[in-house]
Amino acid sequence: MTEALPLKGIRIIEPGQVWALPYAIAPLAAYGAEVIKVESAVRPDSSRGSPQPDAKVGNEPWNDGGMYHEANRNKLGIALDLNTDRGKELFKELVSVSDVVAQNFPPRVMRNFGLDYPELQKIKPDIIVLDSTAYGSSGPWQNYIGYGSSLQAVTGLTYVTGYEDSGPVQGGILFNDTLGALNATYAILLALAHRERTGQGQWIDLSQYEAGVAHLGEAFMEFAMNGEVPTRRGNTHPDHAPYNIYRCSGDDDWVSITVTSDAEWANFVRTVGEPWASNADWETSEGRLDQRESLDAAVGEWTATRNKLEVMHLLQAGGVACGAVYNTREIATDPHHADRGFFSISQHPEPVGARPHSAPLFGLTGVPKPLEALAPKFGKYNHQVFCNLLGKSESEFADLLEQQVIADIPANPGVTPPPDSAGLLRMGFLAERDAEYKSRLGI
Amino acid sequence: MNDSVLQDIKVIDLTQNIAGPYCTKLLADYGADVIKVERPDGDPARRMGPFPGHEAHPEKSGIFLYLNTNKRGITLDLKSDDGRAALLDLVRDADVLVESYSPRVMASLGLDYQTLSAVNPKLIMTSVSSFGRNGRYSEYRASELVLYALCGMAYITGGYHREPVKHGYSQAQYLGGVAGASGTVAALLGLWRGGSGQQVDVSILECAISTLFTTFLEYTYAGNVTRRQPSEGSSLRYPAATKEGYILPTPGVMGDWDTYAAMADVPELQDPKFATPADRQLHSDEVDNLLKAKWLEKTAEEWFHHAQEWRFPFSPVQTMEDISGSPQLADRGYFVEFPHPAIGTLRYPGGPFRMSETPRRQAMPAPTLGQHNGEVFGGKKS
Repeated sequence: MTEALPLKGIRIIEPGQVWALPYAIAPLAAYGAEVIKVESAVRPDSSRGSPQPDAKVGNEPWNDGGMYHEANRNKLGIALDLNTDRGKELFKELVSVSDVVAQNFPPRVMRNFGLDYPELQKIKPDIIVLDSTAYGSSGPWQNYIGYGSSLQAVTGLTYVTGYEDSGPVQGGILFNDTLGALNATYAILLALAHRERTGQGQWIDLSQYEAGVAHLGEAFMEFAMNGEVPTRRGNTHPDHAPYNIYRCSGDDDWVSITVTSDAEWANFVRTVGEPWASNADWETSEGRLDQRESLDAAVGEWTATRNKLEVMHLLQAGGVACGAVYNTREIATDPHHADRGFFSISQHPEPVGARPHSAPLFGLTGVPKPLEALAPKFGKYNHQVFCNLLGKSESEFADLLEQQVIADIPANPGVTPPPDSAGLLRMGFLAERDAEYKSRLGI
Repeated sequence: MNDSVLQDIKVIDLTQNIAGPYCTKLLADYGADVIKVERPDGDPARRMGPFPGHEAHPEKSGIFLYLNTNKRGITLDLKSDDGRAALLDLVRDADVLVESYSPRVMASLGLDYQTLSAVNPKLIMTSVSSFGRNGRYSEYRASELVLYALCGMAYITGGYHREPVKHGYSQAQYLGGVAGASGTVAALLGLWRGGSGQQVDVSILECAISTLFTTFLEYTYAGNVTRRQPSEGSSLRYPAATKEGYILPTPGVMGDWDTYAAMADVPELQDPKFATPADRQLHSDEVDNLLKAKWLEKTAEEWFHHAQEWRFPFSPVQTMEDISGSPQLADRGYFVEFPHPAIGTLRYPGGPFRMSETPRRQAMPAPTLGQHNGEVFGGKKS
């Protein structure tokens, strides 16, 4: 058993916004790094506003949003106006006592501030700087902007998602933000490892476009090898059947069943235990692929009268890969996640109250439990960082506040009212509004 | 061979298929000496496509060739006493072992963490599995589709009246691979900074759940359960047909709506009833009527550059052909080309990020089956 969290003593400055960068830094903070999140004194991180607890806007909505709380636990938060000369000087002072600067503005922003890697390296020669951008810090598209949704389209993922007879489909909300975040975490850890071994810092240029294409290796190889453009094939697999999503007995209830070997098919036949499944044509993979449509229809007929959870547990017990199609309520309340402690409840001040948040995506079993401190209110650690860490006097601190170089209330919170949930439900955008969600979550 | 961050770090790689091999590829591409241990009939990925001319061949699988660059390859039957002994010998002077079996398998081979750490107390053992090392589903079987069902992504993706649909290819697997690589390097840092060896536990399902983003928090903060969306409002959220190709015409979260209307040259959208995102959702049929015809006036590429000039994050829906010819990727020298003995020179995607002092290396193509048996075992036994 090791004594300390592995990143204890490492200081990271995070001028990060929304998800792709803050969520990348979250596991580093959970495993002991001291993270100072730097927000604009004028316009805070736009993730602060949503979703609001119970879709009601409180007195300080910028301190209540769920996205912000999920991605910014265990961080110290300061609010600094980098448009001012004093703001830039304070930022440089912070860099001089830090190990990493990680940010996700478009490349022109830190350049215009005079706070890009070449400048920061002059202040701290072994600094590690990560720039997470949509398209990279060079090239004809370097100043173009993109969110997780845009990146999904440009990386080729949208084009290969959808039904065989449909146009391209977007999956989820901002999928590629998380993809970019996981890659940024790895890049920073690599740079820290190199510095640990050699004492040398460096610059990391992360293009979310490039990271996304790297996750479509087999699709790219298809084009590279055969000149063929991969397209959409619904939920099916080129080599396996049955491999699909089938309707179950409830309203909009579905289950996935994937059989990837003849042995697994034998498990399926035995577990179902009905004559229709014992079709000699289906005993081999070739036979099942040849008759994919009639096979899918037969499996779908069997699932149609059954509960999706019963199908999942029955087939899994018989040795067949199977998973119910879960909605967010079912994920939040699934006992497997409780067994692993993937979600743990934090007690926030009102109006947020108790809420579950998720554990880091890599579990280190030999160190103490990851940290679970609440995300900071806007500007909460101004005094600690500027006075205790940088040694500013009380009068200087008061002057910085007075001159609005730093702030504890955002001048322009930029929080828009949450959508009308009842309207969204009526129009079909929501499956349900769960009045009992708090008791289900144990909060 | 140019070195990178993890030079001299020896990794024993017992992974197969996609998630685990992507994890060890990320370690190998950044300098680790990865010894890929395949069963005598090879990693099952050797039998997955794509293949040149669609003819299956164990040395020509596109996915295997991509996921196993910069690794040395050996074969071992871990179910035999000799195989197990040879593996323990390799573990003795290794820094890391990565495996991607379901949790019971390593124990059933007599190779659980306790056994391996008794041989090498400083060992980092990284386990990348579908459901994680513990929990009631840890021995459940999974596939990419099953994980997409259980992670909630499928339920919110696809047509309103149709079955849920997964993302193309193997997105969950790649995310699990990246998390495994992060956990491995975090554990190495812990070791170098005064800690000891340990086991790293990654659940691919949890990685996939994390991509739900605010959709999940809408439930835990407000009780709202999101589903596949009706087509109303699709002109802002979904790929829109243009004169040529599809564009994703997202207004983003920072942009001003009146400016968006001006950029699109649809002044009717400046009506106050469309002012907020909530307003636009409630009047989405009208928004659609105004915009869908508009998008047909230019090509996707024209809309992309036009909207970006106005600082809106539009993007074209690109195919792999578009990506292969992308001027941005060409300018940055993204793709790499190198020869492989069975398949010749091919083009591959480059790395996920650029490091100024320790660039991703391209030292070796993926190994042929058992290619380094002589080198690895020969050195040992002499």
